[in-house]
Amino acid sequence: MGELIDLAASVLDLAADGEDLEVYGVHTLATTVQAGAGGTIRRVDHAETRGIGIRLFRDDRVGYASTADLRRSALEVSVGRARANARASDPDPASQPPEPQLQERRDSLPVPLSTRPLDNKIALLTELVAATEGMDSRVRAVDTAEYHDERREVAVVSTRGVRARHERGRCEVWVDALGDHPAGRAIDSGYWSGLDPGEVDPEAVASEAVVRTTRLLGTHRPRPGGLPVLLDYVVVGDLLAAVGRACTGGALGTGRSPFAGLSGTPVGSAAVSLVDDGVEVGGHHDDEGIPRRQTTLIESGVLTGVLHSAATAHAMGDGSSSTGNARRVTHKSAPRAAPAGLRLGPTSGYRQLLTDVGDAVYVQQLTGAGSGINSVTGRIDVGGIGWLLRDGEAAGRVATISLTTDLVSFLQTVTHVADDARLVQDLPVSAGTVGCLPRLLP
Amino acid sequence: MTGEESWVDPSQLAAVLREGRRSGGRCAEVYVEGRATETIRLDGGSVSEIRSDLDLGAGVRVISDRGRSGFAYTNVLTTESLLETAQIAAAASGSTAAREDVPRVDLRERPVQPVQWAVLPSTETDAAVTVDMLRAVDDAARSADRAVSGVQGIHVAVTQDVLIATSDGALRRDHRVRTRVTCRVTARRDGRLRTGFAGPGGGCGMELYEQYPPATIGAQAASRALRALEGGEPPTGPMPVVLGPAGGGLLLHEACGHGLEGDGLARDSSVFAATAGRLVGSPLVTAVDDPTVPRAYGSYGIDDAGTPGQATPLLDAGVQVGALTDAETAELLGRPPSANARRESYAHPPITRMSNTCIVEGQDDPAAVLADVRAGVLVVTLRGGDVDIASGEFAFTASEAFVIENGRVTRPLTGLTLLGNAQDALASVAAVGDDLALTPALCGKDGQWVPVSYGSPTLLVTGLTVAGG
Repeated sequence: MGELIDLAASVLDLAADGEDLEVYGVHTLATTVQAGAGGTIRRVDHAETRGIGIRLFRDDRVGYASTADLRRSALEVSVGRARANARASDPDPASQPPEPQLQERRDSLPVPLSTRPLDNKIALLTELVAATEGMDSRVRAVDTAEYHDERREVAVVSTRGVRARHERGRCEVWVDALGDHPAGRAIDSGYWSGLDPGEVDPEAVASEAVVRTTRLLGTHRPRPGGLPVLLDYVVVGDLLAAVGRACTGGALGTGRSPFAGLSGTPVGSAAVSLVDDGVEVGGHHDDEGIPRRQTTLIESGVLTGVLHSAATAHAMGDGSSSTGNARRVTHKSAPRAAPAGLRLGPTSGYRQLLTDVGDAVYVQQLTGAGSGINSVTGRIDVGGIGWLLRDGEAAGRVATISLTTDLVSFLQTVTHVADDARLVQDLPVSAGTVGCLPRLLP
Repeated sequence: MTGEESWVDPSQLAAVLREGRRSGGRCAEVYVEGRATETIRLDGGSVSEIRSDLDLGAGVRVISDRGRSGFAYTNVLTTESLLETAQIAAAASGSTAAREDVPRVDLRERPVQPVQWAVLPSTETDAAVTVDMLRAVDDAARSADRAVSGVQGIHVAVTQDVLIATSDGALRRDHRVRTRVTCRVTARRDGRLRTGFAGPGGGCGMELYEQYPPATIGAQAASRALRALEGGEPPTGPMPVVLGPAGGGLLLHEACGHGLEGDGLARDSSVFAATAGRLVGSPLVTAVDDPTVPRAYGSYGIDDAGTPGQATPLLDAGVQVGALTDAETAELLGRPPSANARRESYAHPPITRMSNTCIVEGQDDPAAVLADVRAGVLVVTLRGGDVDIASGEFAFTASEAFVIENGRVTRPLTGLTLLGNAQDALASVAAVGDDLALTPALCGKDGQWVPVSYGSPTLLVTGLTVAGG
């Protein structure tokens, strides 16, 4: 790693007169180890990805191309394709190359995982599976346990003078525990993420999986009405991710958001303060090379902020500037405004939350969240899997809950945000337990 | 075309396979892929994105004597890089006993029957022609009603050439093409905002637009958004549900198909793991997974481990008869491989997945099925949903639904969710129509997305709970 920015910069001289080029390079090294019941190692994957994404600007038009073939001839072909694509696009004054906002940075965040031998990763998983399967007789077996580490280098350069590079590492460990009960099976996970796999406590991850799974075992009882609702951090993560998507310039600027036209007005209860903190979790610059920052989206229930890429900021036509929220999923993706690190400001400790709400319905999982939470209309039509909280303890599984509401109504029912926030798997969200008024559930 | 002929030489692949086995592997496989993707996006009446993506690489998988899989891949298709990739995969598999006596692999090309083809290749079509198609989609949607506030049309065309060599000496090639156009409409009236979607696709080229004229696509998405604006709250509770072909197909895919994938069955984590050979559904239900459906979105001539495509019966008159397997899960389950090893790209190891999954046509007239329902709901399309494969519990959200009163479809509904259990739902199918249709989709599992299709005839299901409001 390290020569990526020079490779990306070498493409810039292919720009013709009157053109601007932006070149995005990515190089990822990743290892995945997967184990099953009894600690059997099913597979080990080594992945190394390199790719270049090209964005060509000319006369208010933009064209895109990408390639995984990094030879000079392939890069020339890709620039030619981007040029042809720009010619076929419609002109749009918002299609302007981002201007540099920082001097060249070559940031490297700690990546201790890169030096860890494969045998240690396998031993960690084996220990995790043994701990999970030996903890509670109601857990029949581990379904899957997985270790994943990744080291990712990103470089962004442009003919306008953007020149940024960062290198980041991350590591994840999770385990699915499969529980049995005459009334039905249940499955849930324990999860850890961080930078140094040496910090993983297999007992703690196993315990989380076992506790979450066994709470869902038992006869499904009808849900009592009129109780406050506690939302698990995973559930909160799904809901906040949709709120974040609805707060992007692309959504608000085109009216594809339940928050369109509501800037400066209350969209949630006073307990809701939502920020997007790209610096903490997303590296120092976004995928257009613009410095990341912290953006307050909702303050004490009032909608105050928007997440912008360079293009969505231009499109506003009111002098807005990028908030450093451009994101490309891969080098093949166009940059779009997206949340980098959402989190709710806490209003109470977790114990205080339990004391305040008393008996409650705890929603631990959502079913149908992928399609049942619509960030355009704000509709929430999903199923909820949960249990009854009585005297601070889990007191039995409740029948599947129908959660049919909308994002604004959800935010308006929030009474407590606990201080137990943690990163949610696969989402740009740190979330903790949230307490809501009984009317969240019909 | 992706220029597949020039990527690699079979002698290179033979050397890679030998290297994988020489490093200790029981068997090895090389998956070489070239893919060209053209994406055009029309948003707000303006062409906002045209992109051309070229991807090329090879994934090597080595299986050790202990059954552990090691996988690695590279973008660099030189002999040196491929051999190094094979060594990494062999080490990852845990193979330790290097062998010098591994014979040279004599690769022989095996014929493959192509099941996807383009008369008018999309990736070779001038972008201006495709843009005109998208403008027609956009015009039709916008002209549907003044309440239409936004239209987004996206055309995605993929040409994928696959070359798979395995250490048993087989070399197979598959040429795959896919074209899909999606239209998302937002409609706003009296402060209410709703969306509508249409997204036909197939294993074909630009001739897709002959089967699905652009104006029809735009009008369909718009009409769904407009009906959602008018939709009322659904009745709730257990009641008869009539599912249209797209709705029934998604229910089958999520509630049954994923549960019959070999990995979940072999791990005994699927609700279907203990019911092989038993009656799990209504005798009216026969279901199959078939990657050989000509020009369907989820079709392939060979699966992504090189096994020739074949139809796999899953349910026969309600009896659980099949499983979706690759070589590894087939061995664990004591079955022959069903050609359901699939991967998102050369950068991913294959896992067991569906292809084109459907309930076979019955004999009921769809109109008569509706006419027999005194009070219930008609769910034309489901927006999506998911299933806990351990318990079989699911929740699905309807994107287009109506009330049925005295055998007649009356008012539209919005915010309708179907709750149920996979096996209860299958067992309560009370009627199966004769109007099977397939719907294209992208299916996600373990972080990998692959093209599939799902379908069913019109179904009457009595074991579902309607929620919403």
